[in-house]
Amino acid sequence: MIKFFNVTVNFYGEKRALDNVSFEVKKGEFVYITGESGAGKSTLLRLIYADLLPTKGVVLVSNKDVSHISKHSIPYLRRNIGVVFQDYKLLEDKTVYENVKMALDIFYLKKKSVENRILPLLRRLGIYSRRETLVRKLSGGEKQRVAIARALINEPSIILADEPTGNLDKERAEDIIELLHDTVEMGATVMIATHDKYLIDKHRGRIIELKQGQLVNDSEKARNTETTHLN
Amino acid sequence: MTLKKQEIQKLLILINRGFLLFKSNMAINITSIVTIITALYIFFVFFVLSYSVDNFFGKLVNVQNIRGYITDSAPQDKINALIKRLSSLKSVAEAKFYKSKDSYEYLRKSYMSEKYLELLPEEFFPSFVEVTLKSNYQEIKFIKEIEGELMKSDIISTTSFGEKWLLNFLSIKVGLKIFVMILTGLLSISIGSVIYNTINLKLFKFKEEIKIYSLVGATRSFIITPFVVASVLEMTVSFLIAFILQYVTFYLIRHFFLDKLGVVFLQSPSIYVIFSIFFIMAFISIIASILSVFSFLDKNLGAIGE
Ligand SMILES: Nc1ncnc2c1ncn2[C@@H]1O[C@H](COP(=O)(O)OP(=O)(O)O)[C@@H](O)[C@H]1O
Ligand SMILES: [Mg+2]
Repeated sequence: MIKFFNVTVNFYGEKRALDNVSFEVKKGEFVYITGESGAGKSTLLRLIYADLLPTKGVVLVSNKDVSHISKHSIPYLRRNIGVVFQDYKLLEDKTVYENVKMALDIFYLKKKSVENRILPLLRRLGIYSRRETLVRKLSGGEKQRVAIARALINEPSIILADEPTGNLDKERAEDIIELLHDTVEMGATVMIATHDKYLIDKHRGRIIELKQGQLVNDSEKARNTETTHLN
Repeated sequence: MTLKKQEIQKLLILINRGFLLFKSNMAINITSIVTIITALYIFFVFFVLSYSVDNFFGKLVNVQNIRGYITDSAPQDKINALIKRLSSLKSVAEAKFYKSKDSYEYLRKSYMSEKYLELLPEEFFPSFVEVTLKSNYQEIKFIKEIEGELMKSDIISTTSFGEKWLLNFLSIKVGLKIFVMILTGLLSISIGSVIYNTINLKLFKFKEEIKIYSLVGATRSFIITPFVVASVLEMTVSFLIAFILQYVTFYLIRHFFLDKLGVVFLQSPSIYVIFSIFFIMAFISIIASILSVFSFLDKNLGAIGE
């Protein structure tokens, strides 16, 4: 599903945000990208949805080379990838429904079929009753559910989350990870960048650890370190 | 180009988004609409003036023929050769040679009373070549061309045509034309840049929205088209208002001044001219908005997840 071959990213020539990173993620995997702040987690995810092109190396997504992707092809790549961020990236002055609808606008669907797709998803994510509420009036946990709804609405095969729980308290964070984990059962491949060790311990998954841009650890089992909660 | 029904539907949805975009930004729009109206209004006023002047002098300066007076000693074969050469010019309908006798007849017919002419001996009348222009070539520049042609010949002593004094007005005409051309250029640039900046302001307002659309896989045309539609709308509204304003202005001038003086001078450009100006302006606004969105996307959208 996702393959990195000797991928290097240099921002200003000197410093390496990613340094010769190689790995492969198979369909249906649930992967944590960990490492301290500045280790290169966001950079790694950005390469997958072509928000950034590598300086060296090759990135394959669904067998397509996205390290040399053309501007014209990027939208079609992104339609198959749902992305969730720490800061939600929602429009605060629009309703929950309108925010989720944005991901469907680009398909020029009829009003009724838009509704038929959004409402069941909002129900599943527990924000159905908030559908006409402005995003600015929601709690952090609710906002992240809206962002997840927007990421899932087109049933992408890849879901990327960059510190999705960074602004949430422990319980909300667990809920969000739970929701993301559910999508694996539905066939999605999920990659979550987080430095929250507590969460990683809570939910099993593969762990790819970065340190100063290098891949230093890639293990299948959940780590069994102290359950400190960094955040 | 044949668009499929589905494509047309998509386009309609994007046009509709353009309308919404236009409506939702009235504060930004009004500033630029007023600016564009001002520029267009000034343009229209000078355009109509220039157009009227052009028409007015065009009619006066319209000359049908030119004469070249032939020297006494000119041999007939040289005259024939000249006639032949003149007849072959594309602007010439007819080139005709008048002997002294013909010349006498000619004058008798066109200008003076027979009695007066009878007092003069035939030798007093010069022989000349008269060149008549085709109706769609009756302009000073073609007359000038033929004059040059005549003067090249050594059997022609002088030339004369219509009202030479009207040539002075020609410089006014040319001056106004250059002025309007410069004005058009400046207008295009200023309207282009007003639209460019307006779109830029809107883009910054919608930066987050555009980022999100880009994140969920919107194509460039999905993002660009509404902005282009909004700028064409802005242009259209401004154009209509400026046009109505200039129309009212000239109507009032005509009604209260010129008609009373019995002067028919101001002439409104034809509907085709108006439409051409509109299409040029619409084209400029399309180009300006596309450039604006493209440069914005390239500068501001490389990084969604930074
Ligand atoms: N746009 C950028 N320009 C310059 N340096 C950057 C940019 N984005 C990230 N970096 C640098 O690359 C390194 C990795 O950053 P990032 O991938 O954001 O780390 P993480 O997400 O693990 O905190 C950091 O040192 C960061 O300063
Ligand atoms: Mg990061």
